[in-house]
Amino acid sequence: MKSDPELMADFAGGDESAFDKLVKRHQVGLLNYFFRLLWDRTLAEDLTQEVFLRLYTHREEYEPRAKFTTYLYRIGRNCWIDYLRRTKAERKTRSLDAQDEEGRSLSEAVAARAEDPRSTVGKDELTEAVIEAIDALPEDHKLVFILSEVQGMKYQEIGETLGIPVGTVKSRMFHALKRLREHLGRSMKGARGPWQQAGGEAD
Amino acid sequence: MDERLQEDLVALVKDELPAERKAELEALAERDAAVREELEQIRAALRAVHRIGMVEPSAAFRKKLEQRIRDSVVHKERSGRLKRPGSTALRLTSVESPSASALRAAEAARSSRKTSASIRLAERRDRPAGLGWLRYAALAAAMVLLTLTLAHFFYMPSGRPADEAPLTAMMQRWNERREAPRWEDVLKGDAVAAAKIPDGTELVLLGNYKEGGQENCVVAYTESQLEALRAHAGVDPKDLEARLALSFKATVENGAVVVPPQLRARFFKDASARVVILACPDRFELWSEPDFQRYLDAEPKLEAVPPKTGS
Repeated sequence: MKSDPELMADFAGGDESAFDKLVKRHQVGLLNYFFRLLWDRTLAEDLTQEVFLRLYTHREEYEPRAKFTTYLYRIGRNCWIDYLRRTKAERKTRSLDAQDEEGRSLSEAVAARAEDPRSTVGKDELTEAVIEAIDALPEDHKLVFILSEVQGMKYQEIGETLGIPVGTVKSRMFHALKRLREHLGRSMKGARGPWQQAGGEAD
Repeated sequence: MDERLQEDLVALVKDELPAERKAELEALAERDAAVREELEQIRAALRAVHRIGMVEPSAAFRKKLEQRIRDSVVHKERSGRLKRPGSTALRLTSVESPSASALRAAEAARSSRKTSASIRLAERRDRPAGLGWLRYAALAAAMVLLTLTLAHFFYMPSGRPADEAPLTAMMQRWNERREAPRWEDVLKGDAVAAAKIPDGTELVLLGNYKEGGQENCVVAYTESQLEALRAHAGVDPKDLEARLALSFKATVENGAVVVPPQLRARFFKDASARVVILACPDRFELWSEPDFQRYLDAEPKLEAVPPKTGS
């Protein structure tokens, strides 16, 4: 199986099937990256397509010296920043009580998504609390956290992707996790601790 | 517990610590219950996060992506901003070939802007959209050319102006198409009969389209035809590959070939109209019958227009 840089080289040389392979290989990762930033699958797909579109039109700019996923998620970060700029006026912080355009709260919307057989997002209280907790993270912490937890990127790679030092990645990761734990603690007050429940240690 | 230690404990769970610090913290955890509890809380929080499973792309994801790419490429081609290996429009050298000519249809219209006033094509062609001052510059250049060519025509009436070549190529294509073996069929759903092409033949389908142009058809190449085209000295390989990036693959099955919806929508808008398939020497072409008839009727001609005498 060809590596990502080899496929990019083939693609830059005109082999369209190499682009297809790259899309197949990375579409789920990118989609879930955006899904965890937006909690909206349609928008997440839209941004994922935007990334691949930019990859397509800027194929010659990729240098094999850079890890392909770093390059790809750097495009992803730029798409995300552009999206934030575009929607600045209309965006509001969402909470479980806020309602979407269909009159559903975030928790209801998540539950509705969970009915989608293709989605594996669960409906239970803890899952909703986790979603709310991630959603409440500051933007820069959220990006680091998602790249680490969803994409499984190492700190070094996250730093290269976001253009920040490894020390900053480490610090943001710590603070993100701290906030997440605090948020979960508040959301799941009364339970022994949602993370404990997740680990199968709850009552 | 101090913040630096907590930060390192997260890094320990994430396997991001240097070996020395890792061993140090593991030893600390063995003897300190609070550190062990903190580590367990971090791991449990991450387990909670991983309860959110991965979503999969919807069924329409790929099609929509392909469409967006196509739209983007077309848009950038029109505005001349496409960044890719070479231009998507083919650049052919002076060696003209029938196979290259098929791909050159769109280019020919652009070249014809250089045509002198003493020679005009009988058929009308489209012109590029507004280009601002460039259009005026082109107009000025055309006027200079006009003056020079009138003088040329006047003093050398039997000569062949250099700009005649693309027009001659168009006439050659017209003759080639008129004489090519052809058969007609109707679209059955999304397929068109291709009984004269052996089953299992893989075809590369390319849209040959220019807004308002007369040569709008689908060009189909077999693998061997494509290889011959690639090997042709007059074809710029980068431009060819760029053009092929916009192509579709189809296989002849049960004597029919499925036309992709994107090409169907553009070239066969009237689903009830007959489809003409031409077997040119080095390619196949699929035309909507009314379009093909219009093309044949508008035979390209070189007409000498004598300069006005002022009477």
